[in-house]
Amino acid sequence: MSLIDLTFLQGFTKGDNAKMKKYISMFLDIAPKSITDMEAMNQEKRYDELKVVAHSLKPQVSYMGIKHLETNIKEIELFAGSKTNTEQLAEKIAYFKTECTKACEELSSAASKL
Amino acid sequence: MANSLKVYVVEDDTMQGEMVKDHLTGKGYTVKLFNTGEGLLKELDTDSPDILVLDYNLNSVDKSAMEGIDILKRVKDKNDNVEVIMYSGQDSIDVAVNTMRYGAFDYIVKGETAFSRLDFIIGKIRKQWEIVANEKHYRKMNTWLIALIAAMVGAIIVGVITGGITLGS
Repeated sequence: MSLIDLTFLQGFTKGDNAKMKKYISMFLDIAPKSITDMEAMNQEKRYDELKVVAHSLKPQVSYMGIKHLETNIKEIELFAGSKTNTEQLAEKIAYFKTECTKACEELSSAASKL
Repeated sequence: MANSLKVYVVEDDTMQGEMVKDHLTGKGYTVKLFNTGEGLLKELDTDSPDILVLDYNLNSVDKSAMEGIDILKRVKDKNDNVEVIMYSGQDSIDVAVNTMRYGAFDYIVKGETAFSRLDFIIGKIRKQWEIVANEKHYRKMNTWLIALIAAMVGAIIVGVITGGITLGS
């Protein structure tokens, strides 16, 4: 089953493949760096910064149609922002990393077909 | 004003900024994108938009950057005519109320529905401008009408006094 759903992006760009590629490529640039940042911030207990990174990723995950990660990234933002359940953050970030990496592979493949 | 509307967007998130810019450009507006509030404030010294779309959290890239709410206050101080639409990933009533208190026209939560909501709010702003313009027009018409009636009454009085107008029995 596909981890991405490009329905929103297709509608937003009105089927303009160049624009779709542009946004996908932006996400492919941003996501790995953001994941590395989140891991480091969590390890160093820089929760306020972690919240900001998760906050920025949240709408982007939605635009790329990675539906099953929307709740996960919201929880990372919420836990880091409220500094509660912080013991769960490592696991949540690890899950996000695994799933987002797979989704990025799909996005990359989808973009190459455009 | 048709679609010649000038819209400035302040967003430090490259992808989000680009999407808002592309969306508004597609609507026919003249759009300028700034990735810091400080950049916008500098621009406001020489030019001003009709509408400003302003991100609430402007320090995700540069931690020392001014926050959206501070930029909002500064923009309103400089030019109260600029309508500001704040937007943020935070779906929070407190944040929304806070931005309205400082003069934002409305508040949008980032996400898939943000773009249609943006269109709706810009439509609302334009309608409000139309109402204000109509009100001004009617007020002007009213003043002219009062002046005209006053002139006519004056002319009648002068006519009666000078005998040019004879009042009936």
